[in-house]
Amino acid sequence: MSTLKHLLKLISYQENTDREGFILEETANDRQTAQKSGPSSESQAAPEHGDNKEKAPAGRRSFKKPVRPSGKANDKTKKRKDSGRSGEENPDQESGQANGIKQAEELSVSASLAENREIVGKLYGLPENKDIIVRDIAIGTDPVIEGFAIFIDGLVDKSVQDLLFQALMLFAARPVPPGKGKLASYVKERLLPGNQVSVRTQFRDILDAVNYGDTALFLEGCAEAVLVETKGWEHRGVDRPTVEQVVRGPQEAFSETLRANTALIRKLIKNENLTTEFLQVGARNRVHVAVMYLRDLANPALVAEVKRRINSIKTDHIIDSGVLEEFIQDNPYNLNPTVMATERPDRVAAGIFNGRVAIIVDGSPFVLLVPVTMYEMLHTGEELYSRWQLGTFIRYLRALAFNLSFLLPGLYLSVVLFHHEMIPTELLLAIAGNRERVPFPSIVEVLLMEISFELIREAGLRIPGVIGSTIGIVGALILGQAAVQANIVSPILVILVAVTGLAGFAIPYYSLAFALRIYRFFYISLGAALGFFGIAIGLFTQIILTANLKSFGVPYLAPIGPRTVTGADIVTRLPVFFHKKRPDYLNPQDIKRQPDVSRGWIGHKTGGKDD
Amino acid sequence: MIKEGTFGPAEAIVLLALSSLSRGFLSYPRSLVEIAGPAAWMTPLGGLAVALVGVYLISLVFKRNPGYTIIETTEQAFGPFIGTALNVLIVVSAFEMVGALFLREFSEAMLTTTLRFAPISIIDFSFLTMGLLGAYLGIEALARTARLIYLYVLAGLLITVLSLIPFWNFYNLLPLLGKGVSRDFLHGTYATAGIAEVILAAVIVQAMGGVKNFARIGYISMLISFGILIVLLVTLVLTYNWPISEEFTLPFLRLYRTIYLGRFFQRPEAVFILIWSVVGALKISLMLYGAAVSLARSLKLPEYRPLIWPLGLVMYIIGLLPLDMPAAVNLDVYLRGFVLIPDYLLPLLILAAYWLKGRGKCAGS
Amino acid sequence: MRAARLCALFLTALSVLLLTGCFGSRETDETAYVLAIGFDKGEKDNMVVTVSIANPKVIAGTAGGAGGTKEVGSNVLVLSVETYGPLTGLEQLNTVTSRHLSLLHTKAYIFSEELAKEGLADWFSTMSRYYELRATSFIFVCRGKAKDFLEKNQPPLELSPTKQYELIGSLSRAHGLYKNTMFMNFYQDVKSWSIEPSLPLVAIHEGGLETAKPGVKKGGGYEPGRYFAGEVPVSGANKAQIMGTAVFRGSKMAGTISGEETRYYLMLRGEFENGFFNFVDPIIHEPALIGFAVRQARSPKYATHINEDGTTTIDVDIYLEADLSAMLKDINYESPELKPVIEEAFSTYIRHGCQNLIKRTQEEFKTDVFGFGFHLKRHFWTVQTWHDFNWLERYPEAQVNVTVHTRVRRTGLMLKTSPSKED
Repeated sequence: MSTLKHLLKLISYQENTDREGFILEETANDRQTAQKSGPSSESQAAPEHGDNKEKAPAGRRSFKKPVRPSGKANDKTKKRKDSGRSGEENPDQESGQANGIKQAEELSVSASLAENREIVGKLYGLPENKDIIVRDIAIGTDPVIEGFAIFIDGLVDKSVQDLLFQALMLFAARPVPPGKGKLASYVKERLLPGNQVSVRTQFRDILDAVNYGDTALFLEGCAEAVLVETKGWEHRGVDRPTVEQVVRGPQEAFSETLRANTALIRKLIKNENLTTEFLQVGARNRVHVAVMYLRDLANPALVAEVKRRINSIKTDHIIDSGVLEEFIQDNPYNLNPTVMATERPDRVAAGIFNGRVAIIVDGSPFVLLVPVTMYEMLHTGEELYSRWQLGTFIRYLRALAFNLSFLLPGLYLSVVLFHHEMIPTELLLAIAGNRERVPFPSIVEVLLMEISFELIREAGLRIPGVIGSTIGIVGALILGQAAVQANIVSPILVILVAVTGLAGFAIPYYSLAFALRIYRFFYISLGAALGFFGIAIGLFTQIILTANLKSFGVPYLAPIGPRTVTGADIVTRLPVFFHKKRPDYLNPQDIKRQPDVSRGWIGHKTGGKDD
Repeated sequence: MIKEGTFGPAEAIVLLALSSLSRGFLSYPRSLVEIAGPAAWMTPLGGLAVALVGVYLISLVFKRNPGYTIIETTEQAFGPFIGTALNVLIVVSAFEMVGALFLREFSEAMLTTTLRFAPISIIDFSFLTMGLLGAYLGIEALARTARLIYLYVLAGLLITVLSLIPFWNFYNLLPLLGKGVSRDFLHGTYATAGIAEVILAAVIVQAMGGVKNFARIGYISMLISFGILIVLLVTLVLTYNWPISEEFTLPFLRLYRTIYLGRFFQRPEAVFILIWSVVGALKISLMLYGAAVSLARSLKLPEYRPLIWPLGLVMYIIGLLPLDMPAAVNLDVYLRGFVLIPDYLLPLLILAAYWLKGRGKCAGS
Repeated sequence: MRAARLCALFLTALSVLLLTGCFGSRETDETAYVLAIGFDKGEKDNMVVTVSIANPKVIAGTAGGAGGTKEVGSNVLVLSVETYGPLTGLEQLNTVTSRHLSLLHTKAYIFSEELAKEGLADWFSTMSRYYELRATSFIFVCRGKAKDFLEKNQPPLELSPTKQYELIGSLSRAHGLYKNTMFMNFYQDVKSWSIEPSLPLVAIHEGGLETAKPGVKKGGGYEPGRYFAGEVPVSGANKAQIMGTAVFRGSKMAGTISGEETRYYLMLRGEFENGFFNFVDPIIHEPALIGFAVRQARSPKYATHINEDGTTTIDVDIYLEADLSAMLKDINYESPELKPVIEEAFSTYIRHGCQNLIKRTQEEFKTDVFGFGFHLKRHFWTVQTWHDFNWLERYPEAQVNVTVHTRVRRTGLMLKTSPSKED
């Protein structure tokens, strides 16, 4: 009877209450093998589910994983589950650093000046470390207070420091210092003229500040240090954009200094709601990352997500925004980029005005903008700042270039190899006649030309500027011409590869153009293997994989992929007075950009606003 | 529950219309011309009416039971045994059969036209891979893909219709009633009403936004797909008179090969292959997805993705079973009758079951 | 591990490159493109298949301009084989040429008259099934041997031979002396119950001017199209000639009509576009002629009646527009009194021509090439009744009445002709 009941239960309708998902139950076998392998210290801290799944295969393996000095075996599991937490139990992250630094976390400023001097000397490796300057001063109060200032030569602005020391050491009237406890704040409020002054007790903060260019002032008898902002180092000024050039529009570009970059954005967005939040990423090189957004416009969930992802990154150092991009992007295995990097402040400002979030990494002239769709990557400021007809024309041309840049060689191969009937007879006979003399099969010819084109391109980037243009002429003319005359390639192919290359250059965003370059090789192999059917396979796969992509929650091909509200500015650019709404796939807090009638002078004879 | 993703009515309509368009690219128009002669364009009219009625019936079913797809509704109406049996035997197998047959027919068509020397298994495998990828990525990705490519498909159709205007001979449409009214409408309706998209719409109804959109989506997509089929048939008969149209293996391909706009624009059938393969891949993905989702729902599994590979393999093997291409095309005729069962018979049975239960309840209470 | 997996995927994707060439890809330098193919009746076997293969080296010229002498070769290569059927012939020719023969760009199919008289049905079903066939290629019937035609057809102005065939199509619209027919049209008409097919005639003319027929002053005719292909008295390098039409009954050739009759044929079908006509001056009579440049004003109107006893009456109205182009004598035909005279004379002239042609098709050929069946289909509701009516058998008893309406619209650059001085 019980088996019958069991059978009946199997095939009867039961509400599926399990909303969570799939949980693999631990069998007795798994439990035994898990116990045999012994508990490792880190896996205690591993969270609830999937735990047995990880342990069981470890036990069943015939050999054990080598145990690294700091137990790095758990890194993989940690990284997978760590995206949400800020990770308290990660001792191995800083295992490489010296023990001294470990203690810097816990050290705080002591009241004795000599002890402070000793600690600072140990932390910085004085006296071998010649960059760090320790300047003993005596503050000109009555009585004199001893102290020393510590700063890094090369990172400080000497004139500001001069003023600082002048203010501290030379007084016309000698003020009286207050009691011991309030010395630092007294100095900060009364004596120091620097424009950003803060008081700190932990050595970690002091070290961070001094590493960044501040001057730390230690005073006798004070258990706090005063940090004065004296940043001033050699940097490149605001220059013209090198990668994204437009004919009409502003010609400023970001530089490597974080403050200069935020200032450039602030210059364009003079709004009190523009918020800049600072985050720090990196263990050995705590680089500052600024997140900028409009508080009353950007979706708060988006901002929270951006901050969550950046805060959860645990790595050694981040040099450029490109590295940060790879850490926070949604789908790192897909060829298409999902984060946009730009060096133009006007583009960032336009993005922020639409509700996007800008991420600025100190030391990188490329600012990240999230979220982004593929159509955004194909826009430049050229169309925004010129008239709409020009913009529309350029966009259609660019759409053609986009398609040509990865499809053209594949289509040529499939037509020449499989579908001879598609081209007019005269063209076919011309191609055939030219190919009579070429000793290679078509696909070898195409690959040869493509690879040499890529070589020329890469070489062109690395050549020192003086001989750069000459090599360009050498590469293009001599290689191409000579190859044709030596009957290695047919002239039609030279034109084809040149047009493909040009079409690739017409794509404004470098990462996307690079993705298309790689797609081109896939299409070449598919076209040569299966003709137009192969191209169709490639197209279907590419379209569906790209349509599935998301960039910070926004579908990659919005507003056409999923059909959201029609934008006025995707491919065809409508006149500016039609852009009434922001793109709604970003879910900003305020969707209206301008009212229906944005040109007041149309209806009224005396101007719109005065009536 | 199975997480499906959602998409709006615009995408749903385009998805269903594109997928039902795929049968017009195969040898299906040829059999319609065989049935009705020069009045082949009348045959989808009856099918359209029946399809609209079918959509209405299914929407009635959903009105009684919102929040569920037709799989759960069948079980609730008929009880666990008969319901699951009906689901697996009718719905899942309908998707499998249609998918397998389309896989075979598309590969055969590809072989006949371009890759004549390739073994069929490679092309079948390519289509299957595309289908697996599409079904794996989910219905949302498929809907977005449909939305992205529908303009090009429509452009290809429009180019075909417009470029053939110099060849049109309006007298080809006479005699007006073709081979007889009964053959046109009765036999024709039987041949055109069996469209798998009706049951597919019933299975993915939750992803399409639920019951409130279902009727509208169903009506509009049926209108579009049958409308395009009618236009296609009209063009076919206008360009080639009906005894010749009966002969072509792939009428739409033949139409494309006839395009002759001067010395330079001739035989652009390779472009047609692009459109055709993508629509075919879309259809096979949808059938595979439908089969996997309906099987998962009827067996109460929480996730449908592990079922894709076995079901796909079964589709591949069944597709290779017919001995040759005419056999595959003949099986298509039987399949059209079979698909009528889940499309129209199943909702009728469900409604009847509900009605009986209602009477029973009234009598009981 | 992950890197290894990624590498494996990437390599698999790129290894598709290794499959190139497996599935029927063919390089252009492995293929010989057949540009025109001719079929003759063979002595020992069924037919002689002649192919004209393109020579791409000559057509493309030398690459890169390296100087030196240009290759003086013929731009086509002509081969023949005596064999059973077209596809067999292609296979046998493949043993001779070093490349695959491909019919993908064959623009012209030429059948000899003898073969056409025996019937083309067998070969057409083969061709229709063949993948490489273009439905839009042109078909011709050759007087004489197709082999000779292909060998001797060397248009000196054309670099690519297919251009000749394509341009022939557009030329037919300019004078109407032959009707350019595509494969699909011919095939449809063969299977249709409403119309019978027709094909243009081509031939090679070896002689020069000696085939000229006597003109109007010497007692002959005056129509520009009174010749058949191969008879037009033209001397020079261009040997191929196209004029006239072969009329078919089913798929067997029933007879030929000359160029002028082809024009009437086109007018009755409503496909006449342009042409130059001479007709006798109505006031002065022979041997003075007036020349008109004629075009069709609008499609002809057809009215059909089916009487109870099964006989049919068809009334055709043809609408023509003419431009006065040539006059031998100086009568002021542009004036409003005299214009209707020549219009009437011309209409009568055309009407006689059409009626003669119709009589000829009814009595001599017994085939309805004009497509009157299309207009009779209106009276039938289903395919079965139309099939039972069997129009093509009833055509010889049908009564066809033709009415021609002409309007002279323009008179060229002269609006008034003043009389020249008497000698």
